[in-house]
Parts: sequence; structure tokens; C-alpha cells
Amino acid sequence: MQSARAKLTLIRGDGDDGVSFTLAGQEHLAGRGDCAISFPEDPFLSPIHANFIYANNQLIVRDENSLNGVYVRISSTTELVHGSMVLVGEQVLSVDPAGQPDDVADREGTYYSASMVRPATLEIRQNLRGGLIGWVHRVEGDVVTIGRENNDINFPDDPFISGRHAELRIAGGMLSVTDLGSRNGTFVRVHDERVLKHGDYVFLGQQLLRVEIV
Amino acid sequence: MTVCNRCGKENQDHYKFCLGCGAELTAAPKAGAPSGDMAMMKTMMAEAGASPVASAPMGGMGPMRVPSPVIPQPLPRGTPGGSGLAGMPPSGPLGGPAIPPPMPPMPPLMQPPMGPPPGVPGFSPGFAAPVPAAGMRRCPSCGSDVPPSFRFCGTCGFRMDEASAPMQIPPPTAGHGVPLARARISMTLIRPDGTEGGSHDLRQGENKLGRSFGAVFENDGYLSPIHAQLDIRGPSAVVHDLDSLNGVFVKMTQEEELTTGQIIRIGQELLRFELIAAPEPTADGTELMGSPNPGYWGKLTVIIGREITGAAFPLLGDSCTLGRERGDINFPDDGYVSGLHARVTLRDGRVFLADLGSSNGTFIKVNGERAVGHESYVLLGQQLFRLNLA
Repeated sequence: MQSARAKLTLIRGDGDDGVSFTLAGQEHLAGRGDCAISFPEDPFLSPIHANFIYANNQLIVRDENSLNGVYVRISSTTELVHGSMVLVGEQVLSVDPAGQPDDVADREGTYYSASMVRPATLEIRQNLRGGLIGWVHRVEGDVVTIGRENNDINFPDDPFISGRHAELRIAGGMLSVTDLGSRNGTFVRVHDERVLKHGDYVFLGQQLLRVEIV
Repeated sequence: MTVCNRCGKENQDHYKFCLGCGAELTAAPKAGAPSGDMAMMKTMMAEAGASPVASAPMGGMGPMRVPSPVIPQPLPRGTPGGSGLAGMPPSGPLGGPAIPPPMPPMPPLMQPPMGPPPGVPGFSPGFAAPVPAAGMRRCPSCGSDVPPSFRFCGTCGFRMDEASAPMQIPPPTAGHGVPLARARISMTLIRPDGTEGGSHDLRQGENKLGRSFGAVFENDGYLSPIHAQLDIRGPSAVVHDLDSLNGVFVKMTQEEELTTGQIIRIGQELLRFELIAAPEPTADGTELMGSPNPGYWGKLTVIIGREITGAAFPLLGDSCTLGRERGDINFPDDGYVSGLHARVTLRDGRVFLADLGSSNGTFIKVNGERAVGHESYVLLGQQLFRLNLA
């Protein structure tokens, strides 16, 4: 069980393959600190960021309570649970069903006076580097497209986003994301841990790794 | 839901005017709505409804697609920008207040006080005097209706068992008001159609404003019972927000500096300004990942409820304009926002807000207190008032 059954290959900024990490042990920590898979120059990695573990004949990636999380590229329509974060191009987006204000008086019988009510199904927030929220889009409809131009939500200045990049869908209370054949893919933040398959791509901080299982 | 006949927008049942285009909604009023309120609102609706409609209603279309209703309307006297800006399209059917007139029915227990409380300046004639609700006692201190089982007045805390059993105060008559002939200081209601409504008399010194303090206020469900205080010293005054739910807004007359957290109102949009500062380093030196910041220095967030915000717009460059159609940030479905309405400018590390001659004005929320003067426009609850202090 300890034989090397998988390796992680770094994808360089120009798209070519970089260094490979053979996963020969049982657990393989990755992070900015003293880890088997170490990227000391990446400020977006926690000292101990993630762990690649063999369990039940599967390769699993576990988020070791990192600040920025572990993102895996989706290969098919993927359900988004509450508080999901999605990476498209350089955009770190939070996607949630749009909350609605309640029209209830306070204990003195006074109603809150806010902005005009606009129907909305989805709320997409842009998480800026450093932690503040930038754009917040509230959109109506069951399907919302994201891309560089002519979509419901556009990021015209992000060179890593395809023209039509991804699609968010809400149906029967379930929220999901589908990649629309984008060049750089759509990534979803892993909650706790998840099984990896051959050919998966994992983002840790600024490091993009391809999973190869022998 | 009530569907607006003019623009097709769905509105909540208790709204009297369409949130999309401002048109009167013709759904039957809910039973139990305060009668005084209805009488007053009907007057307003009749005037609004009499306005000529420039463009034909487009059935079934949402307000996004309908050209903003362009209805010639008189602007309130003293409103800047109405006539002086050639070529600027009127922003909506209403020349006066920027606030939509939805008015939720008041819960029965929160019926506003009946008649003028002692110590409050007289009311102008013209408002129907509500009669006490059945079975209620009238608080001798503030005039509120108090259920018989209450030992204390819910509005002012007056100990009710000191009062003699159900008091009958005759409804105020026209003679109750200050004689019209005498010059007086007051605040005049500016109706949604831009005409003047009733006025509320003021006096030198301290004036409490709120649902408990006058007929002009008592049916506004967006006013707290004790909402604000206006301290008048000669021709100048200071308005204090008395921790009201919705605050006090003053129409801007010149450019003003914005600090982070400041709330402003244009049209039907309640917006919070926040600075976007440089990120702080974390304890272990890890940087929080996120979308690159191309230089955003501020953000405007739409407040859509008491603890819920909606869309947010980052501010980039030297300045950002707000409008319905021609701004950098647009609210195309808000007929009360002018085509080009206001501008937020970054100058020497400070942020300033200026109105750009909008029809309905740009309002800034009073943080604690603020100086006002003769002909200042003050937004309280959903009603706009002009101060007459001369």
C-alpha cells in the first residue's frame, strides 16, 4: 500500500509542466512551511495548507484548516452548498441563494425603510485579495452565466476568464455550477476533504497541480 | 401580489404606489387600515392619478424595459435643478420626495396617538382627527391609545392608573391649530407629486418629531414614535436623530465629505458608502487570496433590509457617477433617480459626494445631529418636509 501510486505535477504559468511530487508515503503535507510539498514563496499558502492522503485505495485531499482553502477543478455539474466559493479566472466568488428582506415591523411598530425591492435568486460576491468584498451581483433567474463578455455577470478585465466561462443554476433549492468549456476551468473550494481522480487539477494558493494516478 | 397596471411590476399587497414606476396601485385597501391615513393618501393618489401619462402603458413588461415614465410635474418650490438643467430628462413621475410611498398597515396595538399631545404645537387644519379605538384609554400625557389592561402607556411610559378611567378628549377642531393669519415657523409636507401637503407647526426651542407627535406623522409606518428632535434657535436649527429605526435624511445643497459607513439616499436607493483600505497582514503572514483589486478605493452597497444588503458597486478611478442611465453606476429600474444624479469623488485621499442637479435630490443620513436651516429639506420616514424657519 505504500508504493507510489500517484504524483502531483505543477503547472507553470506558461502552461507547461513543472516539477513533480511523487506521493510515496501515506500522508503528504503541502504548504508554505516545512512540508513534503513545499512552496515557501507563495504568500497565499498557510504554513501547513493541505494533506494528500491515501485511504481506502483512494487519493484524498484534505484542507488542513488553511486560510485560503483547496480548490479542485470541476469536470461535471457540481452542487454548491451554502457558503460555496468558486474560482473562475482570477476571481474568487462566493455564490449563495439571494437572501430576501423580511417586511416586519420592529417592536415599536415601525417598518424598515430600505431600497426598492428587486427580485433576485442568486447572490454572487467578489472576494477581493485581502478579505474585503468588491462587486456584489444579485441576479434573477434559474440560470446565470459568468464570463468575460455578454453574460449575466462579466469580468471584462480578467484575462483568465473565457468569453463564456461557467453557468450557475438554481433548481428546486439546489445550487450548482457547470463549466462551459472554459480554457482555464472552474474550481470549487473543497469542504474539509474530497476524493481526487486521475486528471484532476488542484489549486493550493497560487499553485496549480495536476493529479496523476498510476 | 398586486400587479402594476402601468409597468407590470409585482408589488406587495399593502403598497399603495408601484415600486417600479410610482403609479397608483388600484388594489382594494386592506380592511383595518387607519382611516385617517386612507383619507390623506387618497387625496394624494387622486392628484397623482390625474397626471397625464406621456407614454402608453406597456402591458406585461417589467419596469426595466419600460422607458421611465416621463410626466410633467410641478417641482416643489425651492427645489434646485428642476428647471435649470436643460436637456435633463425628468427622472420620474414625482418631483418631490425620493421615497416610494408603500405604507404597510400598522398593527392595531401600535395605533398612533390620537390628537395632539400636550406640549406639542398645534396641528394645521386639514387633517382628519382620528377617533380613539374602541376599548382604548387615552394616555393623558402623550395622547396615545392604551389598551385597558396596560398599567403604563406604551408610548411615553405614563402610569395609567393615575389617570381617571377612559378619558374622553374631544377631537381637535380647526380652532385647535394656530391661527393661520399669524406668521409661524413650520415644516411643510411635500407630497409625492411635488405639491405641498399639510404643515406641522414648530416653535422656537425643542420640537420632538415622530409618530407620536402630530397628525402629519402619525400614519407613517416608517417613522419611529419618537423619531427626531428639531432644536430651533432663530433662523437656524439642529436636527437630532433620536435613535430612530430609519434615521433622518437631509437633502444636500453642496458637496460634502463622505466618511466610511455613511448612508445616503438617491431615488429609492438606500446606499452605504465604505472605504476599501489596503489589506492588513495576518498573524502567520499568509495573505488572504482573492480577486485582484484593480484600485478600488471605495464601495457603495445597496441596503435592502434591516440587516441585509444587496448589490455592491466598487468605486474606481478619480470619481464615479451615479444615475439611472448615464452614470458609471446605474439603477435603470428606479424612476426616482435622475439620468445622471450624483458623483462620488476621491480627492487627496478624501471622498466627496455631490448632487449633479438631480430632480429629486441627494440625501445624506444624519449621524447624530446636523445643522439645518430655512428651506432645508428633511426626509423623515417616507415623507419629505421643507422647513420654514423665517
